[in-house]
Order: sequence, then structure tokens, then C-alpha cells
Amino acid sequence: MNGLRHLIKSNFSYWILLVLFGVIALVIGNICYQVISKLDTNFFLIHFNDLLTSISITFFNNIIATILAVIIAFLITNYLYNKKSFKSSFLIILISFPHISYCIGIIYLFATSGFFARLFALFYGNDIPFISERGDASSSLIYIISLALREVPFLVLIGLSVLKKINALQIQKQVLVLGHSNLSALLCCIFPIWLKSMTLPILIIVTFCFSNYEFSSILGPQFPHMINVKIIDSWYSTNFNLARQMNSLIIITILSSILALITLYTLMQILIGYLKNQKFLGFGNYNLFSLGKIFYFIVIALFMIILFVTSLLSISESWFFPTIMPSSFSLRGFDYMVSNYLWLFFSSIFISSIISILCLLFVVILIETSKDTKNIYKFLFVISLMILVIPQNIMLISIANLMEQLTLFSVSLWFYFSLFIYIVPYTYFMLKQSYDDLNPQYIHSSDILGITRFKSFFLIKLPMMFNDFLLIFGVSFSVCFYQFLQGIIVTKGERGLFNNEVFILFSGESIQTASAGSMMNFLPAALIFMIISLRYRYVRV
Amino acid sequence: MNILIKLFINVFFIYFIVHQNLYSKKINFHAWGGSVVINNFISQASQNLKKNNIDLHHTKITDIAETVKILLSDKKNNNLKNGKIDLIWVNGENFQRLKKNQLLFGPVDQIKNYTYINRRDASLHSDFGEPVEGLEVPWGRAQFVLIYDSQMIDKPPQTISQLKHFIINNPGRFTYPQIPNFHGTTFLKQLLYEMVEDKAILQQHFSSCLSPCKPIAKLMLFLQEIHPFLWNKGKRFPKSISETIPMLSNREIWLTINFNPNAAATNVKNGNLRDVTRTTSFMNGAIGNTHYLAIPFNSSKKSASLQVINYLISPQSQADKANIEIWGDPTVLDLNKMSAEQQNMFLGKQSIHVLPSNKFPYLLEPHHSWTEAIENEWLKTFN
Repeated sequence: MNGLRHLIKSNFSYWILLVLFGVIALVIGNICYQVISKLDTNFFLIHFNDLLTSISITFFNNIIATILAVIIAFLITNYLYNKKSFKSSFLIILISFPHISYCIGIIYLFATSGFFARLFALFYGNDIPFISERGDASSSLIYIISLALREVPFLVLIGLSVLKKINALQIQKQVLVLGHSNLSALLCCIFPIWLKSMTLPILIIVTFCFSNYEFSSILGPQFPHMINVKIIDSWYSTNFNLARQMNSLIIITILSSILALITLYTLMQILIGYLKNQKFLGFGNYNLFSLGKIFYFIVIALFMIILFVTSLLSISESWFFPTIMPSSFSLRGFDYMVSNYLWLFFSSIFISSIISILCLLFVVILIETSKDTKNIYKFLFVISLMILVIPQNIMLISIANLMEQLTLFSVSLWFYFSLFIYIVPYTYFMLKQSYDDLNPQYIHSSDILGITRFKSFFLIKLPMMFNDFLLIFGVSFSVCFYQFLQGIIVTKGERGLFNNEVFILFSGESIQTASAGSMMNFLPAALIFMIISLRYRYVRV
Repeated sequence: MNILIKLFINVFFIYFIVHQNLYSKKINFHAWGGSVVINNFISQASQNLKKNNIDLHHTKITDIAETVKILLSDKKNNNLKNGKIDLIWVNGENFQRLKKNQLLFGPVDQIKNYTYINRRDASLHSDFGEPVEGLEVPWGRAQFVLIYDSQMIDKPPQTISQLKHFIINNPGRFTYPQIPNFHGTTFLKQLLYEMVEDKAILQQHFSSCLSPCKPIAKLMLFLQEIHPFLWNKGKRFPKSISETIPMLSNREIWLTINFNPNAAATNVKNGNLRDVTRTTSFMNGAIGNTHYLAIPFNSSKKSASLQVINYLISPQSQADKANIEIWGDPTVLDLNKMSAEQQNMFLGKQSIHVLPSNKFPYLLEPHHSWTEAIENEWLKTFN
């Protein structure tokens, strides 16, 4: 028995690695096989030119949105870090905001009959909205800004912990003592270190950009559509030509996201190298602190207005241009959602909680067992998890294909698996950062005292990292709770979370009901984050 | 202790058997779930069917293409008897795909209430040019309509030239859903009907149109002329007709398309459209089609599914469905075949928002092969 325990214990990390690679081989291998075996090379080559504009729009929009998000996130992080007391609760509530609601909210704000147009009409006096002339360029702009601002809260949350870890305040003081400006300290010293530590979250954001459907579909350009929209369109289509495009589109998406990752990584390295070599910035002492403050308030204001508009939509009976407020209110939308989906709502909370907890457990075991393994294995762990951060729609198509072949498992099981596998890498990268933040002195001391790893985890690490565990659980929960593509691609309507129903309602004419669903959707994650932020005034990852 | 354990096991098994028995007729109905009024109608039907010991479960899907994929996969995996889907709401290309791959059970038109359906009405027996052949049962009808804001438009367009005139004189106030959206494509097919001299060509396979197909080329030319005057200069389109409803209510656009003659009335009633909204169509005829109910080849509850179809095409259910207070979907039943009492059920509230039935000639959907041809040409020209 002891021998077996020893065997399991000593080989545990290898087993996990084996399982991980098994899963990856299944998911990735399947999609590669499907795509390559069914790829019509002639069709691919003929249509590549048609797709070229789509590819370039997708590529540049996503890269620019990420760069913009990083810049704004750094400015806000710097502002919040230097602020003695800040309301981090605001920040975490923003992360828990559903993507679909955010996109619909943006549309309602900026439409020619939207909220801002109504405010304008209040002063201008026009009863009829101006003629809408939005083209693809302005759509791309709205896409870039919206996506960038949507990613800012997540980057700021992680960025804050990085600044704290590198003790940015100390660096700034030292640089100032040497006679350099605040700007030099910030841009030449703090920013490169911060950027380097943020590599992983930034790369995760890039992959997300390439896989998100709601932003590209609701806010993105239409002529042509971005690649991620084209994939879903092809997936649905009964049109032979469109359906045939899917394999080409999958290859293109994988290649472009890899290219985007490499481009961004290279850009970051060049920038870090350049800034590090700049010993002094000659220009004046610009106040980046105020700029950060402005952006911080813009982000918060935007989210708050969206929340306000969504809540108004959810209770408005009839709300026509140019009235600022609805003429009549009713709770019909909420009534419909509660009477039809209350069970689904609670079961979605339950499923998301269980999956997030399982994910945390899995990742903790993964990190704990891989600690003593050779570096090559640690590297393999990271690589295997990085592979899992492939664009979500592609991963789901692969899982759906697998499901068709491996009929032994039920649809529900595939559904849970698709949720789990999507969350694992994100949980890993967040938890890994927390582990890295932990003062190793405690662990060394416990090792010297002969405390087992099991005890050391429960008695030392867990109490010390409890904030982080809670927060990571919150993020994983909200990511899981807002999934809807699994319900479309994997289960094809047979299983889904509450957000699936909200998504379907948004595709219909029932905007009031869909908004009511959206408000309900926002509640669980917001509640979790509120509890976390109330418990810990200063939350860090 | 042992007695307790045995008791527990027995209770468990009894519960399990009772539970199984209760839900032995659980019918999994795959239907689009984006409309609250439709969902409520199905939910009400489910309540009514409980009397027949049938539990109608509405699986709300985004697109019926999802269901087609499940059935294709079932066939591929040799799941010929224990399919999870018992009933589907389908028409058009999806039906054609299901029929072509032999994924439907039939004939399903042997049910009692089918007698109320007009067997001579060709539009009920051909789904986008594809003969139904008993594989589906008509559930509801649709006809292409134009919904407009009567305060902004005095005389709505009723011909293609009037439409063009309206679009050019009111730039930015009209749009249609982006292709390949079903309603967007239907609008193009309607335009095609207005353009071709020999309308019979549209009932034949697209391949009968010589390459380059003149009607389609003419259609693209027309679209190129009007696009600069559309909403957002034709550089952006709504994704569905649902998206055009708030645009119309806010007067971003003044005229939109729809495929339900009662849509304006239902939306006015629900507060989604202004009271001044009215409905019209093309005077030379408007495309109409029928949406159907079908049973998958591998449904394990075919007889219960037939009972559900029988209920859904019953005069009572059809009258509820046609009622603008409930759904407002025109009936497929022939009122002449009903008793006076049954006919009275269809005399719902009169509404100024509704387009009276038979006001505009009913045009058959072009053969389904035209759909793909139009979509491909549109995507090629404008994408």
C-alpha cells in the first residue's frame, strides 16, 4: 500500500502531464485531422484572396485593441497604485459584467437613436434621429475602443499586483533621487518591468480577441465580417459554399492568432529593450497620473451608463426616441425570466461554482506536484496550457467533432468538459502568479521544520493566499457563468447555461426580456465580487 | 436498519418507476427560442397537452441548423431509434437538407386534424419548391410585408419602382437584414419576383437560368443603385428583422420588411412599436411560405409526437396562434372546413396594424436552389 502511495506520489506530476497532453492531443489532434482531411486546397487558395481583407481587419483590430487596452490599463494602474485609498470594488464589478450586455449597451449608447443621441436631442430639439451613416471604419473604431475598455479592468486588476510586487514606489523614489523626472521613472523603469510581468495576461487577451464572437458580431465591421464571425456563420450555414469555408477559416484563425501572439510579443520585447536603454527622457514632466485618473473615470462611467441603460431597457414598456426616460414601466421581462428560467439560473450558478472549484483544485494539484519536477516538465505544463488558450470557437468545434465520434459519453459530460477545459488555463495563469507572489521564506521554513506538503498547503499557503483563491474563484465563476457558445456548438441547444437563453432572446425582438435576463445575469458574479471586496478592502491577484 | 435500507430502496424504485411513467411521453421540441410571444405560446400548448399525459419540452435553439447537425450526427453514428429530438419546427433549406439526408419520419399527414388543411393549396405542399411528400405538417403561414411609420410616410411603396423612389428620396430610412439572413434573402427574392417577366423560371431549379443569370445580374444592379441610399449608406446592415423593430420604433428607419402580416399588431401591443405603425406589401404579389412541424427519423416517441402535431394544428390551437394577443401567426387551416363555432374562434380583434389576409396575391417561394445562388452573388458583389 505504502509502495503504491509512494509510486502515485512520486509520479503524480507525470500522470497529470500525461492527462493534460492526452486532452490536448484529443482536442487539437481532432481539429487538425478534421481540418486537414476535409480541406479543399483549391477552394482555400481561390477564396484566400476574398478572405484577405477579413484577415487583415481581424488581425489589426485585435492587435490595436490589445495595445490600447495595455496602455490604458497601465495608466489606470499607475493612478490607482499611487492613490492611497481606492475603490477596487468598482473594478471587480466591471470584470463581472457580461460581454453580451456590454456590447448591446454600447450599441444603445452610440446608435443614432441611442442614449447619447437622445441627450443631444434634448438640447437640439430634433424629434427624428439623424440619418445614420456609420460605415466599416467607424465600426472598427467602436470595436477597438469597446474591446480595449472591456479588457482594461482585468488587466488593471492583475497589473496592480505586479506594481505592488515590483515595489514601484521604491523604484520611483530611487530614480527621482538620481535626478530624473517622474515620467522617466515611470516610462523607462517601471513600465518595462510591469510590461514584462504582464506578458502572459496580455497574450491571453490577444487570444480572447481572436475567439470572441459577441464583440465582432455585434460591434465589428460587416464588409467583410471578422474571421470569428465568419466561422460561426459557416458553422450554421446550409449554404454549401459558406459551409465549405469553415476549414479554411479555422486554419486562418489559428495562424493569425499565432502571428498576433508573436507580433505582440516581439513588439513588447522591442519596446522593453528600447525603454530600458533610454536613461533619461528629455521632455517635460507630463502628468500621467491625471491621465490615468481620467481614463479610470471614463471606464467606470461607461460601465455605469451601460448598466443604467440596460436596467432601464429591462423595465421599459415603450421607450421611443427622443424621450430620455421610458414613458411606462413594467416588470414583465423579469417576470418572464423568473417564471421560465429561475431553475436554469440557479443550476447555472451551481454548475459554474462546481466547475470553478474543480478547476481550482486541479490547478492547485498541478502546481503543487510540478514544483519538484524538472524544469523541462514545468515548461511542458506551461506549453500544454498555452496550447489550450486557442481561440474558443475552434476549440468548441473540435470538441463537438469529438463528441460525434466518441458517443460513449453523454452530451452533458461534453458540455461540462468544454466549460472546464476553457477555464483551466486562465485559472492556472492567475493562480501561478499568486504562487509566485508568495514569500518563499515561509515554505523554506516549513520544509526545514519537516512539515509535509499537504500540511504546508492547508496551514500556511491557503490562509495566506485565501484572498487570491477567492478572487480567482470569482473570475473563473464569472467566465464560466457567461459562456454561451458551448450551448450552441457543443450541445446544439440540448444543454446550456442561463446566458444561452439571454443570448437567444437578444437575437429576437424581445429586447426588454433579454435586458431583464442580462440584469439577472450580472447578479451572481457581482454578488461574489462584492462579498470579496467587502471582505478584503484591497484585493490583489 | 436493514428494514430501513430496504424501505429506502423500494421507495427509490417506486419513485423512479412513477417518475419514468409520468414522463414517458416527454416530447423534446426543437424550436427557435428568440421570441417571448412564441415561447409563451409553446409553453401554453405544453400546459394544455399535459391533459393528454404529454410533457412538451421546448428546447430553445438559436437556429434549426443546430438540430440538423445533431440528426446528421445521429445517422452517422447509427443511432436509428433512440434520438433525443422528437419534434422540430422547420422549413426551407433545412427541410431540404433533412429530406435529402432522409432524416425525417413520414408520412406524418395521417393525423385527424389534417382534414382541416386545404389539400388543394399548393403553397402548403411545397416547401421552398421542395415537395413536402408527407414529411412535414403545415403549422403556420407567412407572407412578405412592409411595415412602415404612417406618420413619416403618407403613401407607402407597393411596387419595386415606388420602393426605389422612396429609398432615393428618403436616404438612410430603409434597410434590410444582412445576407445570408433568411429574411434578407426573402426580400431579395421578392425583388427578383418584381423584376422577372417570366415568374415561372423562379419555380425551376436555378441551373435552368442561363449563365450569367440575367435576373440575378439585374437584381445586383438594382441593389448597387439603392445601397448608397440605405441606412448607413448600405455599408452596414441589421443582422435580423428583430433588429429593425427598435430602429423603426425610434424612427431611425421609416420602413422595414417582415414576414408576418400580424407582426406590427403584435409589436404595437407589446409596446415595441408606435401606434402609428401600419402594414402593406407589394401589390403584384408577395412571397408567402409555410413553416412546418416534422418528426426526426430516430425519435423514440413518434406516436406521442404525432399527438402533439395533431394538437398544434387543431382549430383551437391555431386560433390561439392566430390571435394577435397571443402570437399573431396566420393559420394554415381552411376555415371553410370548420363548423361555425370553430370559425368564430378565428374572429379575433380587428386591428388597423394588420394586413388583411388575401389582400395581396400570394407568391410561391422560388425553388430553394435560388436561395443559395442569390446569397452567393450578393456576398460576391458586396462582401
